[in-house]
Amino acid sequence: MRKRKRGCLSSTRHNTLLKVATLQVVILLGLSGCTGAPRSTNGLASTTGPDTRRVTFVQWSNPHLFDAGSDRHAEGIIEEALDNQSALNWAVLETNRLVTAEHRAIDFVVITGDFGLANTKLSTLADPPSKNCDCPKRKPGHEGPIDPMSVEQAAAQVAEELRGLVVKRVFLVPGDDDLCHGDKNDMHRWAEFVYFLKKEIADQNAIREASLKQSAPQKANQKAQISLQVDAPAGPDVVDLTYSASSLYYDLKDSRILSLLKDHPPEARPNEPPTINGIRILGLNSAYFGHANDHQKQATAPAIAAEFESLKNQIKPGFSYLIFTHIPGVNATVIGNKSKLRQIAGQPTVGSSEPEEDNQNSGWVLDSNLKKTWQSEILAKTEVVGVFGGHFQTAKRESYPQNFETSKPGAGPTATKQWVSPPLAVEDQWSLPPEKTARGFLLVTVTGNGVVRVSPQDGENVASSPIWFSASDQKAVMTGDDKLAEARASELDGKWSDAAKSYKDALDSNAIDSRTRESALVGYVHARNEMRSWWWNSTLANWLYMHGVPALVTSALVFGLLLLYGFLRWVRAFGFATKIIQILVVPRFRGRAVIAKTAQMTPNAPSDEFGAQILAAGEEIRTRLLQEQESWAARHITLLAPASSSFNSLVNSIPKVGNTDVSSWAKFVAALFQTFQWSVDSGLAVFQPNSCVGTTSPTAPPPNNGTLPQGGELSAYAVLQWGWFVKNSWRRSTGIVSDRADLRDLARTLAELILGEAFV
Amino acid sequence: MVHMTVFNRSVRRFTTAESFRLFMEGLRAFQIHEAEGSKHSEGDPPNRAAMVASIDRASGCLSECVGEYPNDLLPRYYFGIVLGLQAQTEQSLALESQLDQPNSPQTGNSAADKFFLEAATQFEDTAGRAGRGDLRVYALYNQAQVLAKLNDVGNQHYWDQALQILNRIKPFRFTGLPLSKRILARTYAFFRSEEQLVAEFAGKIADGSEGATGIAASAASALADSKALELQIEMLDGFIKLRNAARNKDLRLGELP
Repeated sequence: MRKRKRGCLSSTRHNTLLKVATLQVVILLGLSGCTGAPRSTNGLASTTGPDTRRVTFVQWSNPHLFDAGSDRHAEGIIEEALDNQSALNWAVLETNRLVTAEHRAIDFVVITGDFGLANTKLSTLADPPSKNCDCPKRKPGHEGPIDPMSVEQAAAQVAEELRGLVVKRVFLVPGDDDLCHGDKNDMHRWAEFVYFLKKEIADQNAIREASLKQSAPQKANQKAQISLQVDAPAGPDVVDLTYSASSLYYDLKDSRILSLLKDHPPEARPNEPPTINGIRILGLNSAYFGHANDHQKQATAPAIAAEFESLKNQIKPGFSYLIFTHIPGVNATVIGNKSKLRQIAGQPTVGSSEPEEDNQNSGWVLDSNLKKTWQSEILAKTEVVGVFGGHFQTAKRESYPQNFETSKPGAGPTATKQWVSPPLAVEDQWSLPPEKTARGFLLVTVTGNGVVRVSPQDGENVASSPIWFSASDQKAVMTGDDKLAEARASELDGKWSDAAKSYKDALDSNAIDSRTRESALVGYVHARNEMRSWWWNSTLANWLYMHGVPALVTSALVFGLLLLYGFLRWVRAFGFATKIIQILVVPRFRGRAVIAKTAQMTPNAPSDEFGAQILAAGEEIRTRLLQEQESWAARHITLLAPASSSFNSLVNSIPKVGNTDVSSWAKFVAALFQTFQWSVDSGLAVFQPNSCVGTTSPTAPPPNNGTLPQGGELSAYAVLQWGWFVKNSWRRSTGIVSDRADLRDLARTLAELILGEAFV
Repeated sequence: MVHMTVFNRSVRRFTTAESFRLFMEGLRAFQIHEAEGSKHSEGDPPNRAAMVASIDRASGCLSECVGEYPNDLLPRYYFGIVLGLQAQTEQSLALESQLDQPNSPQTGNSAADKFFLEAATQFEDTAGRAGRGDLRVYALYNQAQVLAKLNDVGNQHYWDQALQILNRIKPFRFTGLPLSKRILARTYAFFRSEEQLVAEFAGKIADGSEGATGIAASAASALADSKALELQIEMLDGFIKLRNAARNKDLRLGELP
């Protein structure tokens, strides 16, 4: 079995690497002309480049694999256990996808506790310790949680999951549900779990490697010239950031840990914390910070003080630190979590600068001295870049990763440096629909300038975004993603110039990570190659390439519409549809219509007189029908003159109301009303003798003394319509023999035809 | 012969607007003819030429309308009336000719009878298609009247036919009113005797007096029309019987009304 390098390097080795790396950087800068900033390793980087330190990691929290279903009944208990298991599976797959599909350089995975180890059974050791390790998790009257399994089985289950990770560095801190009742004295449970987890990963690796070696010779025999010997993929390097085993073994002399590790003493806590790309990683064991009653508080206060002291001592000036813990030092009500509220009134807590009575809902229960230590001597230090916790289970997505908007002014670093990861487990959210839950993990990138921090102005930026657990695939937004997305969309559209521009915009950004830069560079080169092709530089070919398919589809569509139009005309569908609409919309004509002003189609045609005669003829028809006692017909036929000038003057006299011209609106409404009623449009033409319809004789100008030319012709038309639907139209002509009598006869003829439509 | 339409269309509908136009032109000429004939002053006597022109125009328009649009009943009914007028004109001309030349043979009766028979055909057609409304009643009455006016002695069977038609006519009540008024009038008449109702409005409706436009007036007017028709039927019936008696030489002077 090969041993992987540990993330935590000794100082001697660190110095050696520092010298080698510095030399490499100098050579590279000299060869490359300083066009790019080299990646830093272990705190070493050039101060000239903008992107010298970058740590990207994912934070999982609250998997609750082993104590699922505490508040559930019947099948709900196992359902919750399976749900939590699937969430952890998803976290592994999603993290792998971020690395393999999105090319994100994820440096490590950190799991901030709450596996639910409190509901596991500790193994019986050969040298049994004298302490009681029973931890009845199931409350009286409850059916959950699931039956406890052994801590070795729990470790094996987690090992199976972690071995599937492509990220090969995993940090752990314990959660309050990993200790029996959050009791500090149960820390050995966590230490045993970590021990078995490492052991399981190593054993599973060995088994896998042995299996591969066993299968390789058989295949090698078949193809002797090709070696099929491959190494088994290594499992992740797991590091407990609280170094619980070391503390229990060397400092506290815990009987179970001494017994368990007597043959394999744990490594001592390293002098320097793990360092990733120049940023140091610290763990804070807050698992027992939140379960203190008055008795426990007094018992745990020294331990918490020691914890803070240890943490404080590890923070050295000039370095940057990320602190990982389970219970964050923020007020539980700030992120809307009800189930985690502490019910201990009057307990001084951290997480707010406000008086103690306001802090009773905090995650931590500390006295004022400890609170001061945390806030002023740890959290306030500029070296501390961020504190990442979990623990909470609220379903309000806006609460994650850092929404302390309800924090009171002056909260300071509490609101700016602390980040909270959503839970993986379903826990209190089991009754909510999937889209309403807030489950998932954090994707965090920490960037900074300069290798050695000299002032707060050189501070780091933390970009953290939650990735929600859902049935649908999700993708976190990182700097440059939008430009890449734009570029890829342009590529799909064949707009290579736009794609090249978007790729260039992405490359010009200082904040993108190396993978994004790599993708952008490849895309840019490809786009430029496409732009150098002949068809791209040929205007016609370019146009056809860009618009050929749309133009073809549009032409086909237009052709199809023309065909459809022709077919519909052929089957007279339009006429049929018009008839249907007429039947449905147009009211029946009952003999009442408005006669519009008669159009004068030829000069000097007595159109006004003709219109008046149509009206008079309508009245004559009415009178004659009444004379015959045909009141059935006479009572409703009426030909009306158009709107009179009095109406127009009335409308014109309406004053303006503010900036609104009421008069215009009234005219519009009146016009609209008149449009949708039965109306008659008519026109009159007078033709000279021996002239054709539509022409006038050049030798015989029309008389302008009001008389009609003898031997000429009167031609009139009338159109009966409602809105735009024409019911009927007529054109009648008559020779001019007796001047006005012919005009009257023509008007009467049209009036009879118009009113006749009422009896059809 | 009675012609029945395929579907029961309204008796006062027209096939096209052109049909209505021809009907109105015919009606207008007919009314002009009547107006001309109604002149009684010595200074402005009826103009024969105008009367002839108007009756010819009325006949022409209505004839064209009936020919072009045979399903339209109102033009057919008025065409029958115009034909009856033309027959009477022929009778008048024949009488005038006979008075001017007493010894010349009578030739007008056969021409008038042709008009009467044609008019009877039109009325019969109209009555056959008019359903049960007042148009049918008037058409039957007019048919009986034109048959009764036939002069030829050999046409006695037409007189008998006229009597049969008159017997078939059932007195109508309120059929000339719109449905809503008809219902109200029937309700009103249910509580009042017809005689009282007619007597109450006697003279008022014709004069257009105050209170002559309500539902009671409409009911009274309709009842008066009905009564008038009944009287006309009785008179025509008596006229035909007298004529028949005179023809059979059974009539004595003392029996004349």
